[in-house]
Amino acid sequence: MFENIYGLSCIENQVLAQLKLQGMNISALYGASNIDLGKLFYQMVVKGEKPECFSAAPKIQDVLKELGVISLQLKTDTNIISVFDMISNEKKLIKVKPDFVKSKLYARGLRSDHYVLVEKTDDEYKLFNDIPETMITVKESELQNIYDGNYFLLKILRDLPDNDSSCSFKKDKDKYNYKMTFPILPEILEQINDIGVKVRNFFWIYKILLYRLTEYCSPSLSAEVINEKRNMADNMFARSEYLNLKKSTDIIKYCDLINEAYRAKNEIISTLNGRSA
Amino acid sequence: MINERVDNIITEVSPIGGELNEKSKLKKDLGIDSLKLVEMLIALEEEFSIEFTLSDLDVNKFAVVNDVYKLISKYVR
Repeated sequence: MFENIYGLSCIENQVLAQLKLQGMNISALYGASNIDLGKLFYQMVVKGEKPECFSAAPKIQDVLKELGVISLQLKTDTNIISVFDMISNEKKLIKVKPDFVKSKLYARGLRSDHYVLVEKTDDEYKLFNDIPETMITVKESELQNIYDGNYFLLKILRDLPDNDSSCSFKKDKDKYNYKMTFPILPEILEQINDIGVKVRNFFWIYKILLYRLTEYCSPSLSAEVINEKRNMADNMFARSEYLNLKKSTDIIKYCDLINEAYRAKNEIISTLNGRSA
Repeated sequence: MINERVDNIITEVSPIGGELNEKSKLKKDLGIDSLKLVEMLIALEEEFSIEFTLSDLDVNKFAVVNDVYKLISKYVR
């Protein structure tokens, strides 16, 4: 259900999964959320934006709402069971309590809030979690206990034709050719407090955006290049978390990681430019 | 003995606490994702008083428990 789904939040993951289940080409949407790496560095490292507040790339659900493809409404009700009795034609994405997230879903994202898709079957409720992908069945009383006060109602309103979501890399080529202020110099990082957590957050977003970029551009990239770049992004994220947890103050190591990220993304762009020229 | 100490660390870090043997899959069987993997490696550093290099952190090389044994055997004899 969540294969090739690269959301920046659980809501994005759930929305994308529903579109994919309807047979829509979701990889086309990833192009709209690509951003310049210099901007990402500024937002996450210099400004220290938290991952849950990340706003440099448009939220996919907002893009879809603007296109009229979905409706997505945040609701607050104390009795979640009655929502299932009253509303049957919309998907329910329910906020669940942190204890349940940790002890039953084993989910450990960087955000504090978490939503799951819930479907009613007879007198039971099936909970579908995105990462890790799991399905848990609960009774009515348990659902009410783990419910954390609000939920989204999601409805798919129409199909997503390819011409809505700008699929051609060639058309978007200029968007990827920003002048970036790289390589990042140690002097810049030396002025930043809590560098470990900020660089880790940078790589969390970078990893997902790079996965999206490779998915979006997959018709133009070989599977080998895609795997190589994704592995590289996985490792850079892990290394940044390692430096963060070790409370490393070695600025050169942080610099090297960020500049490696820049090179990796540039290589993808160069490959694409070469093929689309 | 060394592998037992590794097992103890993996068990501590695993959020699922599933059955553990050398073929257990870190992610699928034990719930150890990339963030948990890093946490596990740091715990192993402390347990064995060693320090890994950044190049050891190749997440794709850690599929099963035996991959962790192999890394530790590079540092501890």
